[in-house]
Amino acid sequence: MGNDAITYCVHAVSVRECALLTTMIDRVSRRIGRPIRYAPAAVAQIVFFEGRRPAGSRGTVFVQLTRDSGREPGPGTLPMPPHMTHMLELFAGAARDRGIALGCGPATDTVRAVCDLFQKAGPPHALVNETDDGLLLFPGARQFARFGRNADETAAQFFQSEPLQDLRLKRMDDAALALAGDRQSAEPALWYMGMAHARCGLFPWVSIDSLLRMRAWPYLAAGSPALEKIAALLRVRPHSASALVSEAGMAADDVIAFVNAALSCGFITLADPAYDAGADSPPYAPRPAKGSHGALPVMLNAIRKALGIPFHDRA
Amino acid sequence: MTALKLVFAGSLGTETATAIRAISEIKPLPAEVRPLDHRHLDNGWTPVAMDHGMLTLGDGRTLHLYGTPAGLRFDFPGPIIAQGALGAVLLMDNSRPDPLADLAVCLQAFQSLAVAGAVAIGVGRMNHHPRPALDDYAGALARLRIVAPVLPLDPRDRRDVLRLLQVLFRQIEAMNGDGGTAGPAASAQGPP
Repeated sequence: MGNDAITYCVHAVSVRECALLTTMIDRVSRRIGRPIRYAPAAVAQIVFFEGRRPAGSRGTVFVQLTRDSGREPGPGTLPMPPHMTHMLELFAGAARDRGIALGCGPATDTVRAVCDLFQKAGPPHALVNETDDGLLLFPGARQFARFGRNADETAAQFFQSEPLQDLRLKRMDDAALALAGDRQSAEPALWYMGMAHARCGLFPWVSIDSLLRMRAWPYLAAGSPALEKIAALLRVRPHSASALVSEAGMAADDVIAFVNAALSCGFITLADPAYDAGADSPPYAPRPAKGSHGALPVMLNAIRKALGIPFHDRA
Repeated sequence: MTALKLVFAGSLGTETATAIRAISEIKPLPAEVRPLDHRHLDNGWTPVAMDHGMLTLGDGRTLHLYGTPAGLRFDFPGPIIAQGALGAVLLMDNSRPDPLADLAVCLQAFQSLAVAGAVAIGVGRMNHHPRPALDDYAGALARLRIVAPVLPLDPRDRRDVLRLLQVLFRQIEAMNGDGGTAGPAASAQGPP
């Protein structure tokens, strides 16, 4: 058995539900681009069971099947019939725990194509599945619209950056554009696509040491202290993702999510003239010289305290 | 003891006094009056002075909160008020005819703070006037070659005001991030 396979076992589960799980696991396997194979409970990475928990090896994830459809899947439980998202999380988590790279290639290709399209303000395209349902993208207006009967499913894939191998980009003609629903700002969609794609790591066209500069303050980062701190640092001067990790003291996952999301929206760009030729560079203020105002942090903290702004998440 | 100041600025009718009231420990002095002939005014009121609020810090210092309209006859005080300020909160009113033009006027008045990263922009009345959207503001700022945070804000809501101030403080801290350094925002000398 290859090291890149995720293994599972179904213990004391009815034949009908076993068939349902197997079908869903097959879909999960295609979604995450990694083989998922059956294995005995003693060695399987994930064990689905009913009733009494079987013995397993160290590190085995035990998942008890429940019948309460209104119940949220807590740790170690899975309501039946399961939701695809929960199954994906379960197997993607197991893959991550074992250092198994998820099949991000097709998804990354789609994400890159969408990013390029918006970066270049290209012509309207559709991001559709095999039944031509999906999203109409208007890169020039930085908007999107739903398209077709099953557009919501495609939109969910796009927003959550689930592997997008089933989706393809295609140029649209005026007749099709007329059928589009209400247009919405594409930026939240692009932002969440980038954030979610952090599970596959930093966008492969960005090196961890690439210098990134801020073009526009990422308003979608507001409300997250971690992301606001990263934004504040990037506002001051260009940083690489690795420098953001060391300088901001942030978790690498947060930095990668921020960089992917902000790049997707065009809030930040690579500080490389060949990449973002024509874009105006913001007038970064000269870095202040060392002076006699070392009391600034103390001053701001005193204001925070007087206003009741929490300290714990300050930069 | 040194006094500090923060500036709240906006186009006419952007409720800078309301935002100051949300955080001031004193009742802000009213800066708008109702002239005899107010038919040409948006809301019947016109500013004749700056709004002023205060906050006493734990170390005994005082933070002065100044509110001022930008534009019209109030163009000239901008750079003067900005001098020595920790930073500026620019309040936009999305119900006005051209909020993005208002933004440009405000940024012009507080250019030194904007370039130094010591401004944060709050956009009011977005719930009933969603356009321009936040991404429109981000695009407008990018065209002006200014990078500044833009968030929706209800000036009546203290939490909204504090959230914007926290973002502003982060920007100021990051500018002075290597500790003991100071930019324009740090040269707080006290109120004018």
